[in-house]
Amino acid sequence: MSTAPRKGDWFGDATFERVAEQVAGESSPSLWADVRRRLAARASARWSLRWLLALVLASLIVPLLPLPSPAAMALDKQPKPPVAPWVEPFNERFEPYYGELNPLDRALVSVRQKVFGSKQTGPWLGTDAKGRDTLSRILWGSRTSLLVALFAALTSLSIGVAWGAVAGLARSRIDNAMMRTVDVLQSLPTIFLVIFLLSFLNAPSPGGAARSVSRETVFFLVIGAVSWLPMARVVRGQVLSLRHAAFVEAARTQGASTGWIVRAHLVPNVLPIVLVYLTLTLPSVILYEAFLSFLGLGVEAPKVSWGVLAADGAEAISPLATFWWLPLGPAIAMGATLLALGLVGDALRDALDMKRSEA
Amino acid sequence: MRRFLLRRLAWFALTVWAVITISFVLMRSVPGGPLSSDRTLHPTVEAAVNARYHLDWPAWRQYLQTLGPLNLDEHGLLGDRSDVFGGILAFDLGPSLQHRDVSVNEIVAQSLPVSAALGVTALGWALLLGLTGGLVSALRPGTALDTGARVLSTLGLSLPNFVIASFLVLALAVALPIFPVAGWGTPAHLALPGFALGAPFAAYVARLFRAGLLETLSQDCIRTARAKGVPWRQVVLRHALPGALVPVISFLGPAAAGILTGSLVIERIFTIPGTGSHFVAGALNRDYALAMGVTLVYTVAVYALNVLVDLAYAVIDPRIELEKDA
Amino acid sequence: MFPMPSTSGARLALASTLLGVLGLCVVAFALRSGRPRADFAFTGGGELRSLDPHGVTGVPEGRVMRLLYEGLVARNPQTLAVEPGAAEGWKVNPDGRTFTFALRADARWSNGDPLSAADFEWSFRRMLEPATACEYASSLWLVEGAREFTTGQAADGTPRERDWSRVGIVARDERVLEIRLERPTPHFLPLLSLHVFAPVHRASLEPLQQQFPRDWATRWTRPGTLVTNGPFRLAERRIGEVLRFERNEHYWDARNVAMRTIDVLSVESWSSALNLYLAGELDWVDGAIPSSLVPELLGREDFDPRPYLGVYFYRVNVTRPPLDRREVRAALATSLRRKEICELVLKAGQQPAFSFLPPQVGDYRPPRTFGESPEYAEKLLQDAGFADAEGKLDLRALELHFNTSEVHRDIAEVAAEQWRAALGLEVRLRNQEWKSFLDAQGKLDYDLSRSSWIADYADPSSFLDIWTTGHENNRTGWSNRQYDELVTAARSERDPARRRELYSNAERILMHELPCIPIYHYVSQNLVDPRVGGFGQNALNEQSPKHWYWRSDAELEEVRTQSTRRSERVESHGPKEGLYAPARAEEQP
Repeated sequence: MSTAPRKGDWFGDATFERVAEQVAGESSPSLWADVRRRLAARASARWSLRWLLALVLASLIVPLLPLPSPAAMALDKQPKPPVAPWVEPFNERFEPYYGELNPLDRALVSVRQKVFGSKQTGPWLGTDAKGRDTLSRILWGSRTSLLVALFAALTSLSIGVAWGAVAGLARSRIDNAMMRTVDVLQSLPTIFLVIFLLSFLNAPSPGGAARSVSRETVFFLVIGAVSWLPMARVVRGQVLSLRHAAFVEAARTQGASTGWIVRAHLVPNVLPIVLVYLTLTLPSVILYEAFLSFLGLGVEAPKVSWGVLAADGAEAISPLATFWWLPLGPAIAMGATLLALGLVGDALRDALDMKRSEA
Repeated sequence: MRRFLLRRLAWFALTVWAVITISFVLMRSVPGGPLSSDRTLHPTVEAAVNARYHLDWPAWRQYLQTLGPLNLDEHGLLGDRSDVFGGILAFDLGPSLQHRDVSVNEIVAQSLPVSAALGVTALGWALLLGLTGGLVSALRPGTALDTGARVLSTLGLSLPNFVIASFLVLALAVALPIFPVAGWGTPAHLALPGFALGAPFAAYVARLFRAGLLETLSQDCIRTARAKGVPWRQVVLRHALPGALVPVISFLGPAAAGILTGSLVIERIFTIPGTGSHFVAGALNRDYALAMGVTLVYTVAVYALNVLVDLAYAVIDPRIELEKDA
Repeated sequence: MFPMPSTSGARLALASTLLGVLGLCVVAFALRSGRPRADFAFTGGGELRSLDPHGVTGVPEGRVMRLLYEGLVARNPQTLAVEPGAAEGWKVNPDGRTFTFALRADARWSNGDPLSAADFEWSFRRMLEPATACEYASSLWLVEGAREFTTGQAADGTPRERDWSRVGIVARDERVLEIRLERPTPHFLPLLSLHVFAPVHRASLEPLQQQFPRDWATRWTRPGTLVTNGPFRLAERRIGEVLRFERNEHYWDARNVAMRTIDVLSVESWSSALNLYLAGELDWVDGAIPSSLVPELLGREDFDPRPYLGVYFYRVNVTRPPLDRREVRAALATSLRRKEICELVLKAGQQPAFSFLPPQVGDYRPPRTFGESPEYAEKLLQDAGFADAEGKLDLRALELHFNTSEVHRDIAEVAAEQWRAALGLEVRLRNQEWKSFLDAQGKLDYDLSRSSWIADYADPSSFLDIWTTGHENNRTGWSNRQYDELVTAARSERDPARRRELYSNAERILMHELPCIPIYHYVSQNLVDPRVGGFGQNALNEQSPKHWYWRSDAELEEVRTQSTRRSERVESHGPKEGLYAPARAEEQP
């Protein structure tokens, strides 16, 4: 639900609940082997997973690659259209300015400088209005987007799953209270939370000596604050239905302990939905970051994210002059990644859908 | 049925109250006020503006004022005061603090139908494209057609809508001047924004419908019907379709709340005078009244549509009990 | 689990048909019947704040006010010289303090009522009443007793009862208005042409305020209710969409107004505004053009940037070390490369700023006080003790605040990069949404904060007043007694040369102390259809809509051949036969 990176319901939780219901069913220990086999059998899923893996890897080692710095500017005669790699594979104009870097990245950048010196790739994907290399910015930008996605995944998995599981297992009064809290939080337009957190946590630090909270942290908090809500619903629904499932009742009558039931039945049965749901959450989170960038509330320069690139790119689409490489590069990177996530999600859903496969 | 609606109503009141309270607290704790501008006011003037909008009252009193006609002053709790706004209980959201000479009621009354019209168009697109795509891929599962339809429908979910919208404008309004570039007024103005807004939802509808169809088609009664020689088309249309629509409807309910109350991005790119922009503008301008107004609209829309979804289940499947759980 | 097929199918069909019909009804309800395009359409950015002349401050609002209202005096759209408005003439007493205005006999409100001097008196009074909460009220405080009337305090702070009879504004008779100032003020007349000094219609407003004390404001500014005295009147208002104006046939000069209808569209996104302009839906767009597009526009005849009385600068918080040291501020100011920012980032001909005032403000020429030299900046810092043993500069990282906007971000990125390159100084960028940004600036909670100042009228006082001690718009913590004295003396100095010198000395102090680092001086960036005639190209980018008209093909051809500017012709969307004011149309064959 990409448009709906707006207001309370941008995760389209109802979708997930439906998907969850469909996935619900008995599972066996051999389930995972089965799932792996089925995923591998589907070409689209195979390629999607490869792409995602390559992307994660690239974003991890991007400081090591012989790319121009994503922050180094050259203002003259910009933006420049792409130059094919075989025309200008490399040049020697590397400028080692990156803005703030964490110690690990600093180390990686210095390794890069030792290995490649001032050599850097040519403008294979063109440059932006300030002469910064688009390819380099896309790769560095992927880090922000992936980090945001990772953080959303973490909060969904921790808070969301725990909240949902407790609500599902608890007595109906507690359950009710917990789910109404989720209701209220979901009825609140998210943009309020965003602006509240951005201006409240990001307020200037007294004395100006050190910045208090960075934009990324605020993103993580915002996304953390809302992304677990639908997960909690999904997990609760699943736990509820499992609680009264025949095989759980059977185990209970045979005297199995609650802990054992949770371990042996609940966890393996909830996990598949959680996974499917995650592949649906991550795209919406990445799109939400893009939406915030469109509003100008994105990460701060010189840092870069896919959302910032997409927003700048969309701005460059004009009837007067088409700097087509500015929207196209980020659009392809983003589109491919989200498409891959979607296809993996689809495949996972189909693979976990035991009922249908028997039919 | 009546009990169901009553219970939902009670929860609704509670949720709305909680949302009002949280929004109130959030809005007032953010730095900057509705009056700050790049030209600073003289203290006397500032005090006068504050008094005009009752921003000089203590927070608890402003809160009661926002809630309803509860004025704790010499006129008593519910006393008449002609210079005070009615409050939410009186369906009077007061004047906008940013647009000084329109009331929030008026803003909502003028912009909500616009957003709703756009939303209906978007939903139309989403259903048209999504149901077709879902049907095509569910009837030929595993084929290239299926894969193609799924990739196409996922694409709508893979790009930020401002990118999709900008490309659409460039292609279908500037390069090929078929549609107006922006604006509002005629059905032609609805086409592009409706599509851009509906595309991601089409992707969801396609996915859900495909899954739903595959599931219902594999059920015993369908097999029986086929075995009895009922034509394939009739099986799909009359037997499988209603069941397969359940997940689509349960998704569209809450999603529609988002679409119908407006989309900031699409409205801004196509300059459509809908509610969407007020969500962000209300919060960014610290327009307390406007922000509260649009939040309420949104909450009410979410709730109403969820009730509608539950009723829709009953339409499709009379055996679904409304009492089960909201 | 599976429903009864036939019934549920039928119910489903019925329900979806109903929903479909409902949907179509919603669409039909929301779409209005096609409103014909206005003679002229432009955009004022987003939705305007108000149509009450005493309730607005912004530039877009000011433009709309000029459609609706007319003050005592107006400004010539080409020269900015003060011209008669609702007053046909005025007299200044020899002491320079008393102005007597004679109103036109034929000046009327849009409902036909005669416009009287009492209307102006009442309007000025309303402006000064604290309850009106007029942001510009303080600009009228140069009138005798006006400050006291607003604040309810005497000059020494003792409370005093508000008494209108002590304020120097009196309607002598139906058509004569007298205004007495505290002290001679040479820039009073240009100031008086601001939209905020427009008259409001007492006969329609006052009963409304009495009848609806809480929501008169939302009832007053509506088509049919709002009575105004300008060349146009409000015909339609759709929130967030459009304001439609029609020619006011009761306007004294209506025969010289060409446009019959004018639309002011609400367009928030600049790229949408550009698209609408290129499609002919808008005739004039003025805005923050994305700098990458400026080179594409510069060659076109419909884009002609002109110097504009505004300055873009960074405020420096002088209360925070190390910025409390003048040397540090001077080092920051001298180590920028403004030419690079103007030519490579902004690209529309903006001028590098080495003074706070633009190069030409009326007759005033600002002194040039500092230059650009990274070496000098480095030496300044070293001499001031901001260097370690090896002479390497050592300053703490600074934060640069700017409000969310692409162009502010672009400039900030380049400026930070220039400071890093020149001084090795780390400047962190901090993008804030508008209200938080203002909040931080007002509380002096920043190191460097982006700012700009646009003149209200072409006079140094419009720029230099804000830096006086305790001025609400100072917001840097800077205070200089000598500067205050110079500005105060200049305000009432009647000898123009002497006055310019006083201001020049004041600006020299300002540019030595540098509580603000000027970056560039603005240019106006109007995209306007080449067929539009009477369009004001002036240093305030101020428009006088009553002068707008459409040129005929013949006139357009003539203008094009006479133009000295070499530019690419663009297609005009205006009427080929032109549209002239009734009076002029009769003159022409």
